[in-house]
Amino acid sequence: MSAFVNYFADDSRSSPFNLAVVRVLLGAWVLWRVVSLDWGFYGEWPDHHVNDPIAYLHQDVFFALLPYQQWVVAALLVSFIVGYKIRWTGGLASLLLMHMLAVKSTIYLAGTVESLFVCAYFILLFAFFHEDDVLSVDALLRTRDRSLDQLNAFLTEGPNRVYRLRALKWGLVVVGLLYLGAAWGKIMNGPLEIWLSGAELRQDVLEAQEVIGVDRPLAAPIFEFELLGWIGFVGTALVQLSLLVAVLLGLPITLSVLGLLGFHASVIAMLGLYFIDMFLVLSLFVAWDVGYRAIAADSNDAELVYDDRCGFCVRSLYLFKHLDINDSVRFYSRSDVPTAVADRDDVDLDAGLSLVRDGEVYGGYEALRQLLRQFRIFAPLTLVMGLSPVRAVGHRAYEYLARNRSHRSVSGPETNRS
Amino acid sequence: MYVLFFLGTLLCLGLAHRRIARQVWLAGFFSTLLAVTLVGMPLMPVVDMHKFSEPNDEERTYYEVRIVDTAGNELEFDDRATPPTVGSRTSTIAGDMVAEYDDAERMAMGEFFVSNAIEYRAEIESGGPPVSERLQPPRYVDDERWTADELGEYEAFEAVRVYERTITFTDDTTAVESNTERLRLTVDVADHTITEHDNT
Repeated sequence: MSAFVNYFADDSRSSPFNLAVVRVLLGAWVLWRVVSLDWGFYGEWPDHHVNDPIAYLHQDVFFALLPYQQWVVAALLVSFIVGYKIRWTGGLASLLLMHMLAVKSTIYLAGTVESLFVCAYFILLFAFFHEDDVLSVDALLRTRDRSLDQLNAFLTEGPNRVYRLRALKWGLVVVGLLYLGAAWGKIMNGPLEIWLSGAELRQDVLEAQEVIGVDRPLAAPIFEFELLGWIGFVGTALVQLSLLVAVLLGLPITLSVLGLLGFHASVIAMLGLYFIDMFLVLSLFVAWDVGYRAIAADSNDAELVYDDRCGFCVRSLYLFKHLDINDSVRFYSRSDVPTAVADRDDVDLDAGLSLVRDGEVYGGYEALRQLLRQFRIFAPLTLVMGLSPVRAVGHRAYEYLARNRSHRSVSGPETNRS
Repeated sequence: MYVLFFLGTLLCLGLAHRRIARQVWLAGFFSTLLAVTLVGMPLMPVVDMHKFSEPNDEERTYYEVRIVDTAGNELEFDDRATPPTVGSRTSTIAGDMVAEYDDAERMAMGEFFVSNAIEYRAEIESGGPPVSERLQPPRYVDDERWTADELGEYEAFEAVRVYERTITFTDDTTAVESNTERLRLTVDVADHTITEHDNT
């Protein structure tokens, strides 16, 4: 099982978990970057100092708008993170951010800016393939378009669900191409022997130490062992080129990605915090679902009985079904409860939600809490839900919703007919 | 091309439920990204990442900006005063001040450096930077920032000087052989004078 996923070889997974993790990680990281930058200052730079090829973007009006666009992008990103209207919040956040970065680049096109462009491309890909993202507010809202029967059928169906993650497929090609460029640039610009000798690398490190005034002990070995300079260049070029090759040939990418992470770590050791955003970018291809599957595997199987005529209840369970990566929860509608469960005295079918696990029966609010606990990743939340004051409020809220659940039906075609 | 990218993307997003719209956008975007990558020049908003990809001369030259106070004391400029630049970009600007800019542009840039250095200094001396700055991502250049103690030894800032520094390496490139400096330019904002130094 690979630690990193080649989505280009196969963009389908048995869980949508990775897509949700990437959306949250990516959105949060870009949000942090966007609100941290001093966009209002850039307009103060004298006009004659610009990057000539993109001087047409050095317009007063663009700079004047930057501090306002910063907060528009921040708001759009918050919506994107929770998965609300992904096509437009993600799309507009990405396009606005690209424009802001392009304007900023008229002063200085640093590696940090280029890395943020990469993040913006990813967000745009999420927007284009928004319907793949089922652990989102959008997906929850889309349940309104499905009939009660369709939703019940989905909850009670067996395993073997398949999810496509096309944003990550194309995002991987973007990253592969960018690293190809990093290696290609060296081949294009200089005779190979300059790089192979390791002299350029050693001079870069010495110059950086001299200019910045920081001594880097971790860089010392490349001055002591000449071979390390050669290995540094050849190894870097190999991992940079190998990523795209592995991606396109459908081979595992774990070695390439680990090599790139090693390359970035060595850059930090020798030069400073260059390209730290690329750690985030590469982490987007981690097989998060494998880890989640292992964590959630600690839970024993559970049986959940829910009210299949209550649209609100059925919709609320929709995300849990997608989260159930190990198929450890059997969903039973109240009209189809197995006798072994229905005959138990301690199961109250009128409680709305009942959960049976390890012979224990939980009803109402406690069933909801145990359902969250089933997936392990909500452990902090379930701990808070177990605190007396929270539990007291939770019970009351649950009872209120349960009492009124008959009024909270879906408006889908099936319900309207019935 | 720039405007076309945004308009085209918006149009394709609007039609994203149609497979053909997505395919057209993907084809256009990846063709551009491939071309940009091969040529090594960004076509906004599509960028390449050719980093550290141009071999340098055996002798490296960079330009250092120093702030000068009324007593003539010099202090190396802290790039945090003028975001988003860091040392390498400030060096390019300083090089342009020496060789490219006319006097009006030199003065404008000098005033920009001095006024922002004064503002940044005031922030540090009043106990800043604000706590919120600690929550920001780290700078990729981890140079030393100005401190209030260090700044206490200086009078009011009034000028900038640009030094040209030349680094040479030992033959086996395992150590710096020399790092010499040469004063090239003084922009005195208080007196509104510009002095080119030819001290070869």
